[in-house]
Formats: sequence, structure tokens, C-alpha cells
Amino acid sequence: MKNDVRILRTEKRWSQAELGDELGVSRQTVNAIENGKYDPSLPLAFKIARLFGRRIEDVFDPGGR
Amino acid sequence: MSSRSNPYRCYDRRYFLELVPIVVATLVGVALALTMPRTPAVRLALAGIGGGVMGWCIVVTVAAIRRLDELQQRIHLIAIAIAFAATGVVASMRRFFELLGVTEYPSGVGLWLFMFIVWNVALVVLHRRYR
Repeated sequence: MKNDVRILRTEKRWSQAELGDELGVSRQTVNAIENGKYDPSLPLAFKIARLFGRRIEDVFDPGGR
Repeated sequence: MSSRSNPYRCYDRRYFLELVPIVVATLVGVALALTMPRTPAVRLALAGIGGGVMGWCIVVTVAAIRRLDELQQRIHLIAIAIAFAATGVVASMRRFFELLGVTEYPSGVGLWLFMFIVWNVALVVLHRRYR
């Protein structure tokens, strides 16, 4: 699943570790999500979207872009 | 949440502190076994200590894994599945190796040790995959 997490994170000038701390997950998890190696659970996806003030479908694209 | 990349992050300080009762119970069990006559009551107590140690070990390990984030839990789940399958294969091939004349073969505690080693090796391999 494609996502814009890396773009949104760099816009905020956050490191992966800082975003991980905000979300309550490890830096490795943030990295895996950004690289499309791991699809987050629905609660975590909502948490990410809310943190960036977006709708979940604006951050994650199940069809791939 | 630690930002460091570490496949063994579930083995934290809290985990080892929670293992202390296991060490104490094991020492008590050993002391009982060495000093007391093997009456039915002592045997029952030793069996109870053994069961309690195993039960507490499972509770502590599951609790340590539940404290991890969802990706780490997924990595552990896959690693445990690999270890379980590998141990099943090894255990079911015992008879085959016996027919070949191999007498030194893991069984009992040896199988648990084998499973633990495969679990932890799989943890490192899977951790690299998601790094």
C-alpha cells in the first residue's frame, strides 16, 4: 500500500524517531511503513492521519499511485 | 518507545526482573529435591513448582511481547511460527534418524532449547527484512 507518510513527515521536519514517539511505535515501524514494507493496522493508520490533520484516504492509497 | 533498532527489545530490564521469581522458585525446588526425602508430598510440591515456573515463564514472555508495537509483535508471531514448524519437523523426524543410527538427538528440554534458538535466529532475520 502506497502512502504519503514520508512526505508529510518531512513537511513537519520530523525525524522518523520523533514521529515514532508521537505515534507510540518504534523508528523501525515508521521506516517500514514509509517504505511500504509494512501496512499499519487501522487504528495506527487513523492515528497517523489525525496527527497530520488529513483523512485516512488522503494519506494511504490501497490501489497504489 | 525506543527508537533504536534492536530485534531483542522485548528482553528489557522489566522482563529480567519478572524472571527473578523463576530463579527463586527453581532454587527452592532444587533445595527441596536435594534435602527432602521423596515423599508423595515433596513430589507434589516439586511438580507444582515446575508447573508454576513454566506458567510464569509463559505469562512473562507474552506480557513482554504485548508491550511491543504492532510491527514488532508481527515479527515475533512469524518467528514463533517458524520455530514451531521447525521444531515439529525435527521432532517428527526423530524415528527416521534413529533408523539411520543417530542416537544423539534433541528431545525434551533439548527440543525446547532448539525452538528457542530458532525463534531468536528468525527474529534477527525478520528484523533485518523490516529494517
